[in-house]
Amino acid sequence: MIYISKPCMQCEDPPCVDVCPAHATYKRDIDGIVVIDYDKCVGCRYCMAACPYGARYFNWKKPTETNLYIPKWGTPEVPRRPRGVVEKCTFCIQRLDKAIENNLTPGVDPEVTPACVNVCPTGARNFGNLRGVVGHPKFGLIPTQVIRARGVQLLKELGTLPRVYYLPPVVV
Amino acid sequence: MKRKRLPLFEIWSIALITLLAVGVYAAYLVFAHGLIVTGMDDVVVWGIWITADLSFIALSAGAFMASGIVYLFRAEKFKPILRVAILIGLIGYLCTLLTLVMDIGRPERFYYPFIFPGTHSVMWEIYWCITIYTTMLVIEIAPVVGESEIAERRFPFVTRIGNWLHKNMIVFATIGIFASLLHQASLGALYGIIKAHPVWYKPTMPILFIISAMAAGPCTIIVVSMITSKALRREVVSKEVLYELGKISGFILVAYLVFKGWDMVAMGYAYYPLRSEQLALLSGSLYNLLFWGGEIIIGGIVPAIILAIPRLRRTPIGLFTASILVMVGLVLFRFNVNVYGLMAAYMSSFYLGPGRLTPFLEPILVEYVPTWVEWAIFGGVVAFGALVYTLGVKYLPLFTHKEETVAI
Repeated sequence: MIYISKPCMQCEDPPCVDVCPAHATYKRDIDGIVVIDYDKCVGCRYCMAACPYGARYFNWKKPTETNLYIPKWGTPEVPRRPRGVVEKCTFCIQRLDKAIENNLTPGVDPEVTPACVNVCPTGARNFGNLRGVVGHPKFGLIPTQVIRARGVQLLKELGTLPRVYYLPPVVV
Repeated sequence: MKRKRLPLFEIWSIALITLLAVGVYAAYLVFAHGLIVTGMDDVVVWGIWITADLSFIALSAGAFMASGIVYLFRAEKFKPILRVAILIGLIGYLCTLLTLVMDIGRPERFYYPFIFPGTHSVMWEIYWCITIYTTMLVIEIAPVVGESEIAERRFPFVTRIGNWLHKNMIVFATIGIFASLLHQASLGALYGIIKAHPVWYKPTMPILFIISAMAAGPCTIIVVSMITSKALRREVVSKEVLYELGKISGFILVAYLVFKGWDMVAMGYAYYPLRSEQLALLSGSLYNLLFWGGEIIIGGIVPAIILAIPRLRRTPIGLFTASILVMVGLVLFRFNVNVYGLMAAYMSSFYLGPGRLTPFLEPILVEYVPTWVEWAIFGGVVAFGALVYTLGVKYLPLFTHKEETVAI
């Protein structure tokens, strides 16, 4: 068994969206990213029970203590989520949304690439459009054919069609 | 010298009010600090509160069964239990709503599913059914409230509304029965559709939920009526009616047990990833005792035997014991499905082969220990229900009937 990071898999057929009674979580039309409307979430946690990947987290209390994930420098890009709603990884939509108007490409330009990809010191995380280019701003592109051929999805048998692929290391 | 009788009513009321006060304090803690004061976490997202909700709703199933039997099948024999059944039902649903308000993260947004409908969600359907059915129960209890002395003396308009509703009761009763049948099953579907939890993911879930609710519903009426008879020192519902109810419950209980047995066997017909592994892991925990000992033997087979043998069923003690056991079995069924279904989690990752990744899946058992706040709120809600019932018995004509036919 290897240790892997598990962000939200951004399923093509997300079980969490189907079970939301208040239509608070939905797939965006433009890129199919599953997001939560924190102003609509009732906090019933049904989506957390429905997610096979444990990718959703509930705000059990008001986030008041210092957040270790907020850097000492700069300003946080998104506000902290209020108490009583479910939250999860959004593939940094606040960055992706700048891509079209600024004519930038996610996976190539760091401004429109998710923060976790940018800060990865070894280029283990790559991002992009599987129908376009996928890569890391510093370490270059990965051919999409390689991802399609060798990439493995987590719990594929559930039919959720995750859009996070895990690439095995290349053996020589 | 004559022994003075204990002031039972006063002791009972004070005990309930104390429980209620502790519950209100626990509720304050939840609202002040958030759900962090509970034992739930990001894996076991639903705890004993949801178990309590499911149990309250299932134990209230007697209300829709009684109105079905009396209004639709016209079994006049069961008319004496109708009012108490409806009051129990209404109290059960009120308790459910109270607990749900505590359980959801944003109680002030409770109405959002109505204005932002997530039509594809089972929970959305349950929201609607519970709302409709609670309304129907209020309508069904309205004539009883209208008949009460206070209403007749002080609020005659309540009596008038009650009488009008009573004339059209068959319409409301039918709507109520449909709404009830729908969501009693959907509560099972709530779990049955979740692919992420292999022990839940099966089509039999809704059927098991509704049959078990129909077996336990009459038992609640039996237990509550018998306790009320004891407390008031008079027979509020004739024993014959209760024996008949026990017989109905017994038949449904046997059907439930047969179906449950078939379900357990049929789970082995096809392999679903992790299901057998998780069940194997669960069978090494307390679940084993709760399921086989509690759910199947104590809560299923023993009461089924008592209810099947007339000589045992037709004694107050036998009927009471069997009814309590059925209720316990039902609560354990809901507990095992809800809490142990969530506690049985899994780790998913990969094995690293030469140049390839192969799936790694391992079931794990996650800890969940309810905190005192959860128990306090549960106790407070139960005390609230018992208090409302006590007041109902005291002020409403629950067990007296005017000479009249069933409204049509």
